[in-house]
Amino acid sequence: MTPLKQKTVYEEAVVVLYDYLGPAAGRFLDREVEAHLDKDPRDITSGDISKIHEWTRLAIALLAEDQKTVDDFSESFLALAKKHNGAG
Amino acid sequence: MNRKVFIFLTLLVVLYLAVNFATPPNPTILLRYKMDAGQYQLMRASLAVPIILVWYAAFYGFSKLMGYARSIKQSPDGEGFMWIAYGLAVLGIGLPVNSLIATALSRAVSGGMLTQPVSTIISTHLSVGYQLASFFLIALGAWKLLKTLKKAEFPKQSLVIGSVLLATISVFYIVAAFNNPSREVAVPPAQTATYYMNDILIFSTIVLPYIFAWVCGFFSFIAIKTYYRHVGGVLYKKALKKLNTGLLIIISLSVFLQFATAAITSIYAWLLGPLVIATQLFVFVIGIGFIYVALGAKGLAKLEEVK
Repeated sequence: MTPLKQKTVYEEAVVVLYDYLGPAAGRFLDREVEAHLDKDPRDITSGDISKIHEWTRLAIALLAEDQKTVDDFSESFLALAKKHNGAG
Repeated sequence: MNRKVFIFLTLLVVLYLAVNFATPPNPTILLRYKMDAGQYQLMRASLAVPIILVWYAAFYGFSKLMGYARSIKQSPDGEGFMWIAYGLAVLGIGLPVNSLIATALSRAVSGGMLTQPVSTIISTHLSVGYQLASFFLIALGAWKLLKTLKKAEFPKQSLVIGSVLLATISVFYIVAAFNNPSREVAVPPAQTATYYMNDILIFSTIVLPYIFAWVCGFFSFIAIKTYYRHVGGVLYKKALKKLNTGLLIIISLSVFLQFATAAITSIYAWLLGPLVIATQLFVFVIGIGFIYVALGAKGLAKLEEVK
């Protein structure tokens, strides 16, 4: 039996973003990582999550008209950070 | 709006106005509507302004959607949106081009350069051709968009209602088309025949393509609705909502307009007057649909721009 392939940090971040940006999630994450972290999006590690959270939160705040959506997104992304780093 | 697209449309508008107002009106039309030349030109002018506004709205709508689709062309949903944009472009460009050619043909007939049957055959086929191409491309795009979702089932209730409606209007259209006494030759009081073709040609080159176009329109309507219902993303769906509303308005009203102009006029000549007014209203609402498409595409493009 082949073991289930574990999701990469990139894939997990896309899953969180999908709830807000749908099919645009992957493209959005790619732009954020390339613009602010200056690295290949597929190479992001758990150490990058906090920084990605900061930038994506700002971008989501520009797109969303209500604070609740921004807060919900932030909470979901912090949960991902916690899972990987044990802290936001 | 893209500059080239704007210039192209403006050129079409100038040509349309020139063909409409630089030459005297077709006497056959004056006779049919019981008007003098002055009244007819006044009516044309009052109709031309909203029509031209609708053309600009249509060009604005499809060029915005094309811009968005181009910005995501490498993605699976990009392909679907691109085909939908192509379909809307055919519909949007078809509106002024079809009007322009129909007017030019009518002028050619009154100038003795063309016979009425040739003019009618060209304009009816041009009309069905661009609408069929447009709906086929939109349906293809909607299908490609739907395929990007892992699982999406068509709502059974909508399928049943839509199929019954489609079958009803198709049967009504076939009955209306073949009960029209003036379909091949003009039978008084009609001044001109509707098709100037025999029944086999009417069925295969007009009736069937129209029904196929309506099937494509119906499929697009359901597919776009299903995509909207099943796709994820709170912000994406918010932006998609306007695009979706616009597409649904354009598809449903265009199908209804095709049906109304193709079926009702061929049998109920007395409905022609009210139908012209209703058609203008529907065309205006289709223009609003294109504005919604543009607003939706702008909202979606914003998701692709923010960093």
